[in-house]
Amino acid sequence: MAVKVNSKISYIFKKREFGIFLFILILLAIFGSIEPRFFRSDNLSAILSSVGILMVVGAGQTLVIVTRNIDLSVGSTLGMAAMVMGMVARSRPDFPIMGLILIAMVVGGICGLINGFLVSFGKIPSIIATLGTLAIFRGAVFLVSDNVQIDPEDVPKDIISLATTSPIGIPWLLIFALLAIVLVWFVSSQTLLGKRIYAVGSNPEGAISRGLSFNRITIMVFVFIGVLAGLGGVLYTARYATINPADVGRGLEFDVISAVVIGGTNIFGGSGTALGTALGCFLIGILSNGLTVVGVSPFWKACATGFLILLAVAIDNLVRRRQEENFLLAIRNQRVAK
Amino acid sequence: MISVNQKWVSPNRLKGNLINVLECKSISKWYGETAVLNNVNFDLAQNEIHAIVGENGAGKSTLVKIISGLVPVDVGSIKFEGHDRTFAHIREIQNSGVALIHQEPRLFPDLSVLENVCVDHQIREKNKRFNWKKAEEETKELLAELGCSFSVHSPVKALSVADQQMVDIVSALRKKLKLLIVDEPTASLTPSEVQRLFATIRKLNASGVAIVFIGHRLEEVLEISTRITVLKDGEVVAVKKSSETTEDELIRLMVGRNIAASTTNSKSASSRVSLKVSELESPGFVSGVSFEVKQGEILGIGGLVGAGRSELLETIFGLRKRTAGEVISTTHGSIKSVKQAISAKVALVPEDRAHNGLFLNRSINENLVITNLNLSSKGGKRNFGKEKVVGQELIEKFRVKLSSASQLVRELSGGNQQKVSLAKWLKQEVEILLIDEPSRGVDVGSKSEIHQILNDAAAAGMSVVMVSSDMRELIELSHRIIVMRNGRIAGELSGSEISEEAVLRLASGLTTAGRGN
Amino acid sequence: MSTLSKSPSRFKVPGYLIGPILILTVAMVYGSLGSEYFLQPSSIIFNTGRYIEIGLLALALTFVIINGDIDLSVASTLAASAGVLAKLFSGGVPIFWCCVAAIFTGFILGLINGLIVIKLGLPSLVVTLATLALYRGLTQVMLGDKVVANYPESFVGFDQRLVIGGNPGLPAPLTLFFVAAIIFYFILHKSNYGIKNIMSGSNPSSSKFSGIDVNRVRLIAFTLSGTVSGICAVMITSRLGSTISNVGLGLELLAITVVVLGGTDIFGGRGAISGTVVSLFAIMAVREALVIQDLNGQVQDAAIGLLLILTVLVPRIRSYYVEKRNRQKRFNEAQAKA
Repeated sequence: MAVKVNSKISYIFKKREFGIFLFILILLAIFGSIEPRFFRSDNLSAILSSVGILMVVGAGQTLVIVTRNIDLSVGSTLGMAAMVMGMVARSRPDFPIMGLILIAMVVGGICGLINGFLVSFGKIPSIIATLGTLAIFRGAVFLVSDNVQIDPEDVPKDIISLATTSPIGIPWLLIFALLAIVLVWFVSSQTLLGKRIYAVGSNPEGAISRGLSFNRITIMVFVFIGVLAGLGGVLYTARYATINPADVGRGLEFDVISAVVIGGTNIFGGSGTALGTALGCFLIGILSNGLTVVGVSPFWKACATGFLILLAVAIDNLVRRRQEENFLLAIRNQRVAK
Repeated sequence: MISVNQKWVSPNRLKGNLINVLECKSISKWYGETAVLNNVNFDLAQNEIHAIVGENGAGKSTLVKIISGLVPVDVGSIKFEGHDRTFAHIREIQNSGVALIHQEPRLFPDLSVLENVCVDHQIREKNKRFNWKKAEEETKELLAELGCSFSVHSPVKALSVADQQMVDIVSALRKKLKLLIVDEPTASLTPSEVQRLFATIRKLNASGVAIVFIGHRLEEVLEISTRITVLKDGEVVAVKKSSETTEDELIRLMVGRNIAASTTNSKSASSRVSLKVSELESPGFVSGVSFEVKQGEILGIGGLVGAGRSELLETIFGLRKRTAGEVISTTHGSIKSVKQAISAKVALVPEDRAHNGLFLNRSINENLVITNLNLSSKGGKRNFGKEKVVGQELIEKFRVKLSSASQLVRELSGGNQQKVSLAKWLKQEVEILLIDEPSRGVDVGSKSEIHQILNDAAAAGMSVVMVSSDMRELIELSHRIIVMRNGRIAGELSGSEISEEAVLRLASGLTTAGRGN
Repeated sequence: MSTLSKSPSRFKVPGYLIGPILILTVAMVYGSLGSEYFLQPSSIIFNTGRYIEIGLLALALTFVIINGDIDLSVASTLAASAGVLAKLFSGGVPIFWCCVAAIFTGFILGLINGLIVIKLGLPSLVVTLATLALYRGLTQVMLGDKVVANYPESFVGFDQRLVIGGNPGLPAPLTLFFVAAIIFYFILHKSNYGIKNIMSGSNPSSSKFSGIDVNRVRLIAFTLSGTVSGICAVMITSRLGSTISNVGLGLELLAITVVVLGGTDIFGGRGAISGTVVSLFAIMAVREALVIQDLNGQVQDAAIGLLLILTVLVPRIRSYYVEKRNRQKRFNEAQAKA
């Protein structure tokens, strides 16, 4: 009996990402048929660019949510990293690009480290800790930049080219994004560390009693998203070329969390895939772009996103509950019958 | 301290000198003023499957916690493989080859079998990538050897409890297992799953793993074990070879008391029925249960863990979904929901007071008042003065020992917590009291007070339906006892039929004495 | 031990208030050192209009959080209600009925939140994340990028009105807030609903076993939250004298900060109206004190974020070490017995 249940279950699980994929295809078909311009290469490239930043940060947020945490400060972290990098670039125009990228990632990592410590050793619920650091890091952006924005002239051409040049048909921006997704996929499915991360979210007490180092894993996960947010800062600069202390990264956390949730990651931790998140990002990006191209007022975008989140979570819940009910029922009837 | 590098004792050594894996001498432990274990000796040879039996409260679980290293002894010594062992960190315990399998396996539901097994693997050499392929093969082999047919990649939450136990065991095996403790593993298993588990245990034992087995079902205990230690009231009363004893003897040793059904019980309750339950069905827990309770009667419900007793009470109270059957109060009619139950003057004191009966982080007064708001408030508005009065009355009536009524409930002792859990319902008139394990985790003094409360209530006309695993309590208090087994009523005992042996036999399925099946 | 002794600490300040009171005091001292006008009643009172809206949201949010849920959509509900008000007004409906409609909208939107959470059994974090987007989207669809601004004289400027005239007088918003705080105080601490709310958050399972209809409690809290958002919509429209689609953007985070800073446990079961009230004034004082130092909004927010973290961090660290000491003491006692 276990074997039959097992294959049915894995079939359903495979279905989840497949479902989003199907939905994306349907959307593409709808948008494309209403307005053929949708499939023009410059439009597609615009979609990919907007999705890229979301994916980079989303990859990290997936792991954070898997551990039953949440990071509301990603937008501010991204802003901080971008601003510091921008200021360095402005004051030393010859600074090597790799160095700039590294600086952004290190700044992001430091922000992540702070979050990690607050949540693990400080025992502050992550929703509160990152609510606080969201404001603190944003304030830091202001202090550091003295409320002076970074203008396009100050941004090195090479950075901007990350958004525009496409070495193999896809812009660099997207390559970074896909790398982040692949990295998360690799860690979560192929490494022991990844399994431990999921274990911590799946059963925190069990993790402790099995001797997993809870604090270390938590800190690692937050540092990881911090670094990715830093990378996101680089990509943001590449795309928009302007770093304004008030605007940079504002509201990012909402989009990222939406994408992760739509992608199938359970807000209670323990499950979620990089692929799902990637698909969630694509879904949001395509929907938002498609609505505009088709002529629907962009004001419907927020409604659509909200509705999608509800739909995704409701379906997940329904499926999960029915699985559990059927399964437990069968087991228990077996027991009573004897 | 145990050195982590000690190797397994190879099976060949079995023929030579037998090393006692475990030697516990003169173990005593107190919780507060009560001695839960008193001068207990326990030896475990490498080639034996040693079972520990005893009633609830006999000290089994404490002994198990001590053996597995989770809890320190107060008096006594423990030698593990000949070396003195002291209270150690969980990882050290695991690394020394001791594993404890619970009734409910502690696994990660979202991870696959393979991942669950490997997740705490200690990577010994730096920079060496964990070899999934090798782990997969090893795990597959182990599972096959143990007779499991599920895939290593199935998510654990999709497995039955029996299969999850196997995963638990395999996880333990990867750590060079020397001592395996299985605690009540068969409660949720089907007969064939039990056989598979036993085959596994035997195989492990043959490879050199010493086994400690705790169980309630004596038939199974006799089948699987080689030696049995019987605990009673925290002391060892007998250590017998399984081949040289019988279930009857074990029961007599476990019980060993002549508790006559108390004379106060023979005073018959009135013959008016207050509650009638017919063909009650809650899928998977309760099946075709019918019984009646009379006014002024204390009806005891006995049975082993997993028999469905708590679930029965919850279904009657309206907390658990029922698919068939009726619950009818003779004064208030049919009861289908919690609201109706409370209006029908039915109350439920649950088994797990920490999670279901009390609000641990709130004050004593709030806990007492929450079910009595209709008394102290008017028009939805609370009256603190009246609440204080209500609280004070209950505290004094039930003699709850506290330093202040605004103290948090979690600071109270077990006995006083239980009193609060009970008292909150007894301020107002209750016709039918459903109470689950009245004295679990309660000190002797509070226990007798609670018993007095129940007796007085019954004498005043209340019907009490009492689930209890404490045999003495069950016998002393009940006018009549129904025994459950596998969700059904196995039998009913009244008057002179009532004895601990009779209850145990019905609960174990040995006889079908009395009414019902 | 006596059964009921009068607690000698009847006049002790509850632990959760210590933080906010401390912050309030320090901020007021700091502010008055920076400017002689700081403590003058007129300057305090007339700057407080926008804080009162946040305060009202926080009061209602306190209920939701104490009973174990969370409502991220309060600001979007406010916006949607304001949108309805503006739309109806532009359509010629008398201002009074527009206000009624706005409050009713808030009521309905809050009710919807509750129904989705309860009937579908979904976590409130995710549902209100979705409605945060959905309701904001509705606002955007209603208003587009239009600005509605021609409100009648009699309606605008509520925040400058005085209930009691004179110098300095008692401003209307403050009065409203105190009235609301008293009402909420009564509901939470003096009504049957209030204690059911607290107990549902403290232990939902024990609540069910005690005969409390937990779902009804939650539904009422959500509906209340929405209604209050509707009321705030009227207030904010009056204060700003205009309505645009991004009205109230981001207020939800500030409202949550007020609630948590005031000592309410984010996981439910513990909290007080007094905490929320003092916390609001503390935050107000901090921000105004910083305004005097000429620090801009983001830095002010950062200071609040820092205080939020400290307020949660300090008690936790303290209780961790106290618990550790207790455990050691108990262990030693047990050993001594042997």
